[in-house]
Amino acid sequence: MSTTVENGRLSAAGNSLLRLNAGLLLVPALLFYAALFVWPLVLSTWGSFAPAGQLSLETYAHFFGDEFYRSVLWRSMRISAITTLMTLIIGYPIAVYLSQNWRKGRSLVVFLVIAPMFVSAVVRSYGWIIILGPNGILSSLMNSIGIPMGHLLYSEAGVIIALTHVFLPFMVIALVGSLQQIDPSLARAAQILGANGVSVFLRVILPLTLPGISAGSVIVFCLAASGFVTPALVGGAAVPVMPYLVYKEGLLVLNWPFASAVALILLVATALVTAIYTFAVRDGASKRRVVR
Amino acid sequence: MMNRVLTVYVAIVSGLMIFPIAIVIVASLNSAAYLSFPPSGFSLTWYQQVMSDPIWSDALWLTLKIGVAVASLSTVLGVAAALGLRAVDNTLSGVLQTFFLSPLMLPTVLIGLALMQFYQSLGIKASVLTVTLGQLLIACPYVIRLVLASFNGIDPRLERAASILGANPVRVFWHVTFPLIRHAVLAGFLFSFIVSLDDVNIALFLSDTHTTPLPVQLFSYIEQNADSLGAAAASLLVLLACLAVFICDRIVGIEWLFGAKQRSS
Repeated sequence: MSTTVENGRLSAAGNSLLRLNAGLLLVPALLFYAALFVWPLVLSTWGSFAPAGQLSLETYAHFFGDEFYRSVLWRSMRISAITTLMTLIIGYPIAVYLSQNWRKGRSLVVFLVIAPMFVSAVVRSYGWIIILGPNGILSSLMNSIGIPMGHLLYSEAGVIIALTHVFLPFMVIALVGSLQQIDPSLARAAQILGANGVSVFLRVILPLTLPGISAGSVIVFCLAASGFVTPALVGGAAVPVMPYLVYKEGLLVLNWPFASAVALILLVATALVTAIYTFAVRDGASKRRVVR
Repeated sequence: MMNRVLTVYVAIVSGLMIFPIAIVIVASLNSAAYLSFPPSGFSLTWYQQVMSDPIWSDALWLTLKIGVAVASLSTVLGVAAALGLRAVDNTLSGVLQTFFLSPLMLPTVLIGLALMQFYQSLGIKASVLTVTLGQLLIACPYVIRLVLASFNGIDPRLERAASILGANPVRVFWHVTFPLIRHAVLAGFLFSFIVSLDDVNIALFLSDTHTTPLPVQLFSYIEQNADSLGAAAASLLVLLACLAVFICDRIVGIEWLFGAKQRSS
């Protein structure tokens, strides 16, 4: 009997030793993150606040004091917000379709909508250059129908179209995730109680997918705001956004403190917008519950 | 009626999703240097030119090297970190998870810029290693997330049974834990490869004229001229991505993206 107790103790001791050993597996990743993630970011941040070795806000003053830089920040936020809205509107019906399991050809749709996510943004932006360009498919098509149309390359609209294409899969994935969790009997119950299709959607399905909408919007907004390749290729210097400014100041002008400041301002602005948005969605959802 | 409308809509959007990528491939097979509609003729010359030009072929090899290095390192680091996270208590594990996933929350240009300044301050020259370590930051979080998710489907009693029967921790991992999570590990490996293949933002800041991965080379090229040669180089990237996605789909099923249950083998 005593041996079993001892055995129990032994195995308990062995277990805690095991846990300690397993905990040590975190060390390589922690060291790597500390050296190549935390430390460089600290240095870069410090550089933006102390360009000449002592603390000053001159890089930030330089940014916010200039009409052009303020307009770039505003453009970045505007483009990201419109892109987010576009992916939500276009992606929602797709997500509804994909979350219904019984359909034929579902895997084909999954493949067609999701697989482009894995194709480099450079390639997809190039596709849009060919489509939207001066002698591109879109303007040739429009002109042949008899609608004269300029090209959308190097315009904000073109950038938004390309970004919507690039980030649609992310929105669809987030929405499918939350649609799949809805109990189908809820919609049936609403129908039995006399709700028509539209009000089932507006009063049952839509409120239940708010978490998915919120998650998808935050992901797409952040990615669109920090996307560099697509705005640079489809918009170019005519549509400067914040990441483009970071690239220009960091690699071409070599003004590192200012480039760091621009990148940090972008980070803080994105965080603020997504925080306010998430709060508003949650707040709206809880208010509606109180009304009911 | 409603369903038919939805089906038609989904078909149209699916077509539009593929269209820009298909157009690049069509452009690469066009015999003329610039794409016009309809295409003037079929030829594979541009692929020949890309492969025979050392600027492009070097960039392609470098990309493959970096991709495999990023995938291998991020798998090892990520699996180790995930195992470690399972061993510490829940509060600490939650905090550390947020920390490990945080590189995905930051603008990638910020990471690239910070690393460039860091390397330069230490006098480290651009190389395969500098780009690999940079991309590792945005690949590793995916491995950690995938492996952690796969732990949820494991009965902890299996591992305990093995250790009661006298297996040491290494044997427990190798014979019990690893076979149960191998799909997630493989998906993490391939996903990391794809992340490396798609990355321009970090590599752009960390490469120089001698170490330019294909996506960065392509980016610089397309900024100047949009011709069929660029389209051929772009198509090679599509081919690589397709290969990785196809293998991933064969092994775990593309459904894992939706957080759905993985296909059991």
